[in-house]
Amino acid sequence: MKRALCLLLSAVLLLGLFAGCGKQTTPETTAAAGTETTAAAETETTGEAPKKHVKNLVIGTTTANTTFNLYGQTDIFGRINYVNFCRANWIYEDENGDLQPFFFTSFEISEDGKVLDFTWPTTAVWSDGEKVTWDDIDFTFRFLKDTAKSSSFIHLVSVEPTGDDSGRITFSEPDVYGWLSGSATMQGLLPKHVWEKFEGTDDYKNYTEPDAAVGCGPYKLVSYDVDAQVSYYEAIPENNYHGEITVDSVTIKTYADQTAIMMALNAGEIDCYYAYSTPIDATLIDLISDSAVDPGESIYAGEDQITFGMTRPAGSDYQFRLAVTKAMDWNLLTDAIGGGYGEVPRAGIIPPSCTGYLDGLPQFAQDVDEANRILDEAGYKDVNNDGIREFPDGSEMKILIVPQYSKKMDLRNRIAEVLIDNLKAVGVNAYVDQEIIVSSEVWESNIQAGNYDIAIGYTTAGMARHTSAFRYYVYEPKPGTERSASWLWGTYTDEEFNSTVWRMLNASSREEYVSCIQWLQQEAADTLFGCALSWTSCFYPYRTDKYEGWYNRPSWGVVNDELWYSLTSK
Amino acid sequence: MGKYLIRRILTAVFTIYVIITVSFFMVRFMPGDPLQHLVGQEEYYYLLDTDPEELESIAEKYGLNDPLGVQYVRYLKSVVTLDFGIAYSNKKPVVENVFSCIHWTVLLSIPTWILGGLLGGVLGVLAGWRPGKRLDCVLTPIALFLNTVPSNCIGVLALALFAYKLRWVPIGGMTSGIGTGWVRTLDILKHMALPLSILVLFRCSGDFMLMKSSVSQVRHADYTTTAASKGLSDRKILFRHVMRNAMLPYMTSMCMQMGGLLSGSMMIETIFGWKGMGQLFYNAVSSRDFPTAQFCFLISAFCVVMANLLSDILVGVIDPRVTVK
Amino acid sequence: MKKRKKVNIPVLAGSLIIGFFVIIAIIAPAIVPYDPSATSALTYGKPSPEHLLGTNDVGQDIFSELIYGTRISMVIGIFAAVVVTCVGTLLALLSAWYGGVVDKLITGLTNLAMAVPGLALTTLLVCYLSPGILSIVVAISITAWTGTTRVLRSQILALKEEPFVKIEKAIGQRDIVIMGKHLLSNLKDIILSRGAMAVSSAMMTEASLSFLGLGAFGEKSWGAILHYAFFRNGVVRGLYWWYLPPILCTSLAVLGFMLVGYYGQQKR
Repeated sequence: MKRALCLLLSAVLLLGLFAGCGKQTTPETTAAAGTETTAAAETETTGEAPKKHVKNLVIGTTTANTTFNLYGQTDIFGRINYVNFCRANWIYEDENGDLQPFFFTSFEISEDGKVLDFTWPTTAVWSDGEKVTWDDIDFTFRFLKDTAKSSSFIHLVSVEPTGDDSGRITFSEPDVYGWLSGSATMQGLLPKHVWEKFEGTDDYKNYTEPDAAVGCGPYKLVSYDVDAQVSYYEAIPENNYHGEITVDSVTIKTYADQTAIMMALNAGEIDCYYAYSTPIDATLIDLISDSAVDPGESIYAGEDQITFGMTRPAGSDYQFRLAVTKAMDWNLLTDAIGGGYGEVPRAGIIPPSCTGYLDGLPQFAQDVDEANRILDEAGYKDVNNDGIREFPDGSEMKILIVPQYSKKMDLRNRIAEVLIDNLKAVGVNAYVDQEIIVSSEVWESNIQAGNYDIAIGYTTAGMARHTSAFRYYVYEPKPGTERSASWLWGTYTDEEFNSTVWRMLNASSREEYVSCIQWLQQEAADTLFGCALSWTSCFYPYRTDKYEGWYNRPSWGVVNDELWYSLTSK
Repeated sequence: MGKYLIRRILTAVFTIYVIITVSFFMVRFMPGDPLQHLVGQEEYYYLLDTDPEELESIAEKYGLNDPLGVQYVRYLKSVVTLDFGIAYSNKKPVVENVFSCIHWTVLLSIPTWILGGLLGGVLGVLAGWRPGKRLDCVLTPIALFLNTVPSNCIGVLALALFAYKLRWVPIGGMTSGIGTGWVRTLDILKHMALPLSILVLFRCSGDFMLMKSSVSQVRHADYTTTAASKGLSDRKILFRHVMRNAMLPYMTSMCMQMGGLLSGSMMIETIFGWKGMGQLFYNAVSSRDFPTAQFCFLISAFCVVMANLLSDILVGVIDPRVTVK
Repeated sequence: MKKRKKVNIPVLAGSLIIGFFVIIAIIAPAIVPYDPSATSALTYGKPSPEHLLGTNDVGQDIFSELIYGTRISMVIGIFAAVVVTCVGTLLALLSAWYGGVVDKLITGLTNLAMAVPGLALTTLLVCYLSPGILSIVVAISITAWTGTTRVLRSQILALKEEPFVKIEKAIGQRDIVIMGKHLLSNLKDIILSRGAMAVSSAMMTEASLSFLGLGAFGEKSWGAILHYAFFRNGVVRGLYWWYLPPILCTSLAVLGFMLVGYYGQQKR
């Protein structure tokens, strides 16, 4: 009886196990696979010194591998399309921050910045086998303007063909440069035959049918397995926008966390790592145990930064701000944030990898005695002898530190702990108000109201590339708009500062952008309205044993727009 | 009996209704602007900067501007039709998201339930039958100790030892996505070895204590003593009298444990990167993904209520005396 | 007689453990070598004579953190247990003594609370309330009282039938007096042991919650130390002096209360 029961139960257990696994044994295949393309065969015929193709590149990521929507930005599919994968973006940005042709085979901005002339590749095909036509181009711009309501195209006047393979886009304002540098590098052609059914509706964002992944980038989605979090792609040799595609197929695998990524790299399970604006944490770099793994170090364009509350008694005083920067333990901050790979920042806030970086500004250094001296001289004296300084008028001084709310705020909380301790060492009482960081809503309303003495925030590499950290210091709204119409987290009310930031964001040429951002860096150094906490390295590790031709683009890593055309087998 | 059944079922239905209502209000009043979580933080500020009307229209679409009453009625309707809308996190239907991870949790929890129940039960009978003997002396402290270690601690320890240090098992996830059929099954087994072992260990120690105490209670009951005085052998007493009577409370609590099948492994799932219900729920809560959090919570609560109902029915069938009350 | 002495050993051991931690918690400021929130440039330091358990990711002394952690963890555990036990006992008294509608209501409430997945609700609640000791206590208490109520209710129902209670009732003694003099004093042992069990389970829940990062800013509970050790990659890098001590402390403290609770109950 007992034995029978045991047997029965174990049978049930086994069955349950197989029922659980059985469901996943057949990877779902999308209907996207249409044309019969074999990339390798194509290149055999080109003759002169054929490049040794990479058969299958395995990319590891921590971003989910579930949604496949050409327009979307969610999941790894949306993120890897930023670097011209299944979607052909209009243009791309090279290592110097210069705009280079991609889908547009050439382009030219008119003198007044209102007209863009471009040529396009008539040989390009969609991943379902259809040919790319002018209709698709025309449709995409109309879709972006009217349906997606993209702000870049508010002033779009017309899109017209000027030849078999050329066209012209006209704006009523000088918006061309802003669009190209702001969003055209992460935006590309949509197939009319798939997306026209969504004109005038919102449903395109959640569209997940198999043809939602149809694009005309260098790769097409062939299959995916949501349970295993793996997707598989093959090259479309016709879409060789940047030269011969040397990586024949790509597998993208999603791992649970960065630790798993490191283990997989060591084991050779994956060849490289990619995740948008999420480099491997510096504290995990020690985990590299295989000499073939290159840490992929580069200077990060984003950074953690602090903003002083310039409308409150302490923050409005330059001497106080100066004393704070002297009191801060810069080496500890750099260690804590960058795991020992960072660099103590200079006074211009944005790091050297940003467009328009201004060299030669002073570097911060801790000097507690100096900080004490400055505070003493500025009148922040400990009047009542309790070991804590008071305001010059003798009233109680409590410095409110507000770390930016986010889902994972371990690091920013730690930074706050360091700041509190550093300020304590110079007799300044600082604290974090728990009530402010309970949710993004409460946190933001406090920040908007300027309810902080020191705010700890961060700039991602994505924000840094055009918008820049200075956007976080803005107090005045964009000229011509209401205060409530925007997010304004800064408290620096200086008129020239505010107008320069907005001018930079609406720059109609690279020269204008650079001159603005350089002025802003100088201003930051002069007035200390804020400062970076650390300029860190970022890590996108990759394996060097099988393939060569990696190019590690700062802040992005080796998986960038050029990878698909440069990587070859050893 | 019929009356008893109906009463139990009505209670269960009412309980579920109350939980549904409570969960609606709780989740709705959680701090954080749902809109911000809906579109993503960076996108939210970008839109706020460039296109506030777009934000407004999104809020409209998700019904975030409607009065609470309207939202509540719509919510009840959506519960009945199992339509929980679109998850804020990945823009897919919530139900689809949940059902795509539910089987991963079941894959962990059903074996845990069965193995833990069997092992704990058998050991518990043996230890309870001869209290103070060697088996009892060894097992009881171990089980007690296991009951005292928080599961996240054991999880972290096991991960550090078996995955990071010894490299015996993969360090997380459910599969490496290699092969099909047998290869894949083996791969999954390899991934689940560690989390499953920990869960079984915990469940087993809990069940062991349970069985032990119910056996030791039965052991002193009149009928056992009578049986012993009749000269029955120990084995016979154990299986004929003790087991049968100790089984009833054990079976009912096994039934009730079924309620925790979906929600019991949240900690272990989070630590081992096991993308099941527990992790889904935790992620949903921390990113304020209301629809997902709500549905996860409801479905777990539903399981608990159903399991309790089942155990009530089981008791009613085995021991009809309770039904007359 | 001999047997009774034997079962007391675990209770004694448990009490010793509890006593140890209580003393540590009380004299914490006197024995810490460093201010637990003081940072230093020595990050991820190994154990050394200066730093017995090394330093964490911002150079804070882990040993000092651990000592202070005793305070937070004990306070939350005991505070929550007191709330749970009081609420549980009160509800059990009301429901068993008065019966009828009151009993039906309370039993219904108990069944309802038992049908809610505990940790899930607690997690939701902690996110809802702002993080901090008080909200963790509330979140833990809200589902944890059910066990105590159930056990006590059945005990009181049995006591109600005892002659001495019946006599008191017959001579018109006030309810409050009967409850205090007879019911509670008779249930003293069981309430205390339920209380000890409640401390241990509250401490476990607290450890889980702060491990998930739901604790308050800068709060040095054992769970929070483990949280940072795990999420700032101390565990994966094998810094066992960082993650092992909080695990051991939590387990030991929980064990102490569990021993008292479990074996204390059997003593009778």
